[in-house]
Amino acid sequence: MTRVSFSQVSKSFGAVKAVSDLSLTVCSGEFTTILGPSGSGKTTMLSLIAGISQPNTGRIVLGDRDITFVPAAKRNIGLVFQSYALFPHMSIFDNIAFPLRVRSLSAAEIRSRVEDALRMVRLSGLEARRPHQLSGGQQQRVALARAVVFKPDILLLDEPLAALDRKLREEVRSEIRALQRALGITTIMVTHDQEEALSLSDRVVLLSGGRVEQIGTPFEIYHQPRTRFAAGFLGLANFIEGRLDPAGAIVGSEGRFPCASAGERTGVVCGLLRPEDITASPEKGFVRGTVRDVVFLGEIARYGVELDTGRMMTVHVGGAVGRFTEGQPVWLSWDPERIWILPHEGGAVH
Amino acid sequence: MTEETRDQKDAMTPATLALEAASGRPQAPARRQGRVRWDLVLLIAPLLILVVAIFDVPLLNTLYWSTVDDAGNPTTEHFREFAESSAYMRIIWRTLVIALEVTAITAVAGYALAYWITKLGRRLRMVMLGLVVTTFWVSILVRTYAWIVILGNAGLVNRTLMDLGLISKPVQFLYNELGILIGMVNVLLPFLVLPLYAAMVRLDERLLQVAETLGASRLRIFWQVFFPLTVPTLAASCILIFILSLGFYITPAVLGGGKVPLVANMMDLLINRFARWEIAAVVSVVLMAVTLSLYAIYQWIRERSA
Repeated sequence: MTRVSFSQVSKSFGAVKAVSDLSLTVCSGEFTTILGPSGSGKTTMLSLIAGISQPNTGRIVLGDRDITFVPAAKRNIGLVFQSYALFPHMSIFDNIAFPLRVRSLSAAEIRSRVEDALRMVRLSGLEARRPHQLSGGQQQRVALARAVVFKPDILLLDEPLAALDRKLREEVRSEIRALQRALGITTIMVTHDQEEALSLSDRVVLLSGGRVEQIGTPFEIYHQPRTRFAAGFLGLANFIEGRLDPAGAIVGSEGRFPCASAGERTGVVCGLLRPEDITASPEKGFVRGTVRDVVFLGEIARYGVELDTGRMMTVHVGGAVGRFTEGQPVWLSWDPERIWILPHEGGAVH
Repeated sequence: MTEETRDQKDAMTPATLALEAASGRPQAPARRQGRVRWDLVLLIAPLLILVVAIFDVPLLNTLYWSTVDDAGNPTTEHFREFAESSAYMRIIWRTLVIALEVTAITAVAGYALAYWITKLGRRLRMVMLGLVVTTFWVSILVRTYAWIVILGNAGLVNRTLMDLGLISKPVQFLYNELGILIGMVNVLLPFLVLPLYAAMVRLDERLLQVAETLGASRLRIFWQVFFPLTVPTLAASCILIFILSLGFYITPAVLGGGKVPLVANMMDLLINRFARWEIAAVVSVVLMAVTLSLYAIYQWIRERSA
């Protein structure tokens, strides 16, 4: 079991700071996702851990080993690229055996380990094939087998699902999760896909502009974001700005929004209300508005509701097709507990 | 278009479909049989006629000359004459050996050069590639004579070596096989360096990075990942160079000083000095047959290993 820690790591490419002064600890045996938009520095983080590039300042420690300047070949890290990066001129067997041959294991040991790895990713019997003869999902699983067969300290995944189609993605996702659980291997995944991050991870590290925006469980990141950026990056958000009324409401030019007390906070705040936490009903609720837009998404329908104050709210209604039509007046209500006051944002940010 | 697609589907039986699926290969469109698109044939006809008229007909004509006598009657007389004199076969053999040597030297030197260029910075890379390409712009004749100045007994190389005290009398670079090899490798190097450089640059860098994270040393990455992935281009370039080497005329004539005649020089003698077109035709046919057989062997090996 191994943990990874970054302390005050910076990496620049020319004048561009890809990662600046970043500190972070990834716990042993956990599945941690580094999530962020493109340009947030997440790919740089990955190459720093893998040893493909070196930081300008700071230290990276793996277990009790300082690996900041250890060459990639000596790090004992399993890496899976988005493009799979299987060796096209080798059979599946030789691909998976590659890291074992590097380590000079005996032929019998190599054979049994490769067979175990293939069984683990359910590809037994395909040893003799070449990568181009496999489907995308199968190639991904081979890449995964190759990355874990030599028992690395860390497993690194670079957007592992991005190249797969939607249905296959679900399948490979649960496969990755099962594999990670079974091996108990510390895993770091880099992705820009929030769904991937939420569904796979024990912890999510949200990056923005080369800095850590927030670290937390998927639940915390989604329901208790610290900043507007975090709240907006994962899922859809209704931001409610106004003065906090001690009676339990945010009051502003856009109306009065009941909320539970917000601890220490007073004065101007920004609250978050997720579309799925809002109930729309013809009966009287907290605020009144008119349906302006209906988008049917299958399991839910997304309504754009314009409040009487002129403000737009996004509302998700499950299993309710055609309950409301455009132009129809509705009342919106919610559990006041569900308004989350962003701890790091004041209100009235325009 | 829709009709074609339907045809393709019809041509695929459930069994072939299942096989395709089982092999995990993306389903290739089944080859359509029996129907020729005459409109397309018509479109490429002018080119086809051009190739046949200026390339294939003279070639067949050569074959014809080698098998008829002056009166136009079929004969094996020319081939017999060819077989009876050992000189012809010896020169063909020497040409093949020199072509092989040139190919081998060019491959080793060119691979190293191309690899080195990929490791340079962007600007220096352009400069080096420019230098390699520049050799195309200088006439072969000029370049060949330039080698005499450089490699001659009182030439640049010999003088430098003697001034340094490394040798006491000049090394004989010219008017022997060594001179021919140097000259030919110089001319042919770009044909190998350019495609090989392109292949090396195109190679997915992530394969090398992954190999490194898997624990492989630089040497192992080179020999087990980088090199095998460049072998197809290397092999194709080598074939090209080998075939080009077989037809060299100026370089062996000038740098060999007429002492090491190759096939092209022999042809020159046969046609321009002795006016023996029919023997020249026989030599061409034999050389062609040998070359094609070598090429066939190469293709066979390539398909076996794919």
